Amino acid sequence: MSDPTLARLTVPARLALITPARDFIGAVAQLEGFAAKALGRLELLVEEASLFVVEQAFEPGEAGDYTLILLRRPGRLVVALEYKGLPIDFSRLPGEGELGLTLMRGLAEEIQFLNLGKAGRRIEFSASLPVAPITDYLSESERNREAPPADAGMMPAPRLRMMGGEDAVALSRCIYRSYGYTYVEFIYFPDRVKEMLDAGLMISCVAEGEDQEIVGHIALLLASPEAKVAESGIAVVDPRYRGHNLFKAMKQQLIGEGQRRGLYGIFSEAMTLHPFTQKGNHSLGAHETGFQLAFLPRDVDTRKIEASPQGDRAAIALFYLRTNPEPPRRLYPPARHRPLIEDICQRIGLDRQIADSVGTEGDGGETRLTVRVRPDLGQAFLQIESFGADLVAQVRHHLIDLCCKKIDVIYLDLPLSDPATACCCDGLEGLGLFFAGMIPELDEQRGDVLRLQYLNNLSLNLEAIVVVSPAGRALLDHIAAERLRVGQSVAL
Amino acid sequence: MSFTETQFEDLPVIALAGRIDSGTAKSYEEYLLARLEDGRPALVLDLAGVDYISSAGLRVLLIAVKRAAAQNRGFALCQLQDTVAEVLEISGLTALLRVQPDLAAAAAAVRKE
Repeated sequence: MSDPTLARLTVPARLALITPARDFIGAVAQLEGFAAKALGRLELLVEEASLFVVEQAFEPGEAGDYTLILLRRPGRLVVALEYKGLPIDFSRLPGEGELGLTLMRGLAEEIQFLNLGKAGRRIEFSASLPVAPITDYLSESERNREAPPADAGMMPAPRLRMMGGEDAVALSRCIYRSYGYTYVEFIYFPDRVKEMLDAGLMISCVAEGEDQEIVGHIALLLASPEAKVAESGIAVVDPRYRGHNLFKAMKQQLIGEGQRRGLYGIFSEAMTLHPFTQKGNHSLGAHETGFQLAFLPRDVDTRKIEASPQGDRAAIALFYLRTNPEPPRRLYPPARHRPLIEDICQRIGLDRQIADSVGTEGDGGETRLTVRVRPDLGQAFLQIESFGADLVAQVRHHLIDLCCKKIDVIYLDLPLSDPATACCCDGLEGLGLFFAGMIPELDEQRGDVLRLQYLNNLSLNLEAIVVVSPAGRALLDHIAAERLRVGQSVAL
Repeated sequence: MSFTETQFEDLPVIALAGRIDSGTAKSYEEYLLARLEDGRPALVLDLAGVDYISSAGLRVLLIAVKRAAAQNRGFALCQLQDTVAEVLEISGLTALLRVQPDLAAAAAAVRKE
């Protein structure tokens, strides 16, 4: 399903035309209800991205153009710039002159740099549409309400059902009442929740208490309506209803829904500051597939559960639950990680054939790589679309750039069904990237991905990471050993 | 885009207004560099009327502060709107561009230099 296009403008790559093009995009965004401050930010992003393209992608005096596209996605306005120009010289280190990139990363909620191969390149960023937050729906007394005290077992057992768009306000109300403003941002905007549900990007189960009040929720989040795996998240139980085993019951209902819809599986991120979420995942039949060290920033709510500090940030355990048979695949893991990959496949029951590396390092052309940055969470995600001779140089360039921009953790996904993954991993680990785990079927076309991780000079206390199973322990021990082996930032 | 020359106590002040972006940066740059040639002891820029600045505008201010330093003249920015202050903060240039809250603080800062 393609996103509705609000506007499309192709502009000659000339400095003098940047501000008229920016003003056009601003005028269209204004029609979508953007207020002055949000509009100013969006216009600044458009100007900086346009400047970047005009200055970096074309030689002075060279005739060329770029296309600005304004799209509507659930809850968001997306601006994309597409252009065909000079490849960026990845042997050159990111320089001080990249003031515009610094502003783009600082201002955007999320920004992506995509290499489209022969179709050129694309820079994409988005802004949340102006919608009313949940506090606009609450009475004064509700706004000032303290989180209700836990009263396990005293309330009647709630009824479980799938959530519809009409429940969006009640859900936001439940989360606000239980946790205040500490949860993922979009959930506090009922109109955005409704759009996500309507677009098929979110499938939710709710627990309904007395007077049809929503007292529990858990969701499956999909990257696209056609995605074959979903991420489980936004698990909330009203403290008054704890003790009813609601988390497990709601998740079981969602697993059934995933099976009915033909999803191959559900992955989730479990906290490692305590054992509860990991144990909950095990009891449902999910298995550990990796650990992302320092994934969560310090200020993410840990629901006031006492825990040993892990350092600057906190790790999460990756879990996967198989819900339907997936296509059989041949995987090419690097030899060093092969036993763990085999073990993960076996535990989950994936239909996989593990093959030896056949000595290919890509087609010798340019590497295609997507970079997605979440500045607010200090996270970046790199995804290899195709391997080329400049793979290590490109990744090195992005690592340096992201570290300079104070991104704390960087993840790199490699397609395990591509023989080049086995051959190229050593070179990438030479940059300080190290094993994080495997996520089955995450890549819609190519299936399972091997995830590597890079930490930007963070202090870590691995002893404080809570692990609940021998398989999880074996994974974390391998990750800790790999981290020591590759060192940190050695080749940057 | 506008430039207004005013005075704070005995110090000449330039009040800028409008947007400093890739479309206007060249004009701002030419104007500011010309003012640095006229023998004034310091360059104090009142940005109360500037509601938008991009990296092209930041480059102009960087050129001006470097030129002022090379000529041993004081330099300060003051009265920034929130949106402009945020851009300077993200760029990490707040200290380098000698940002002050108001004209009195800007005047005191350039007299110390």
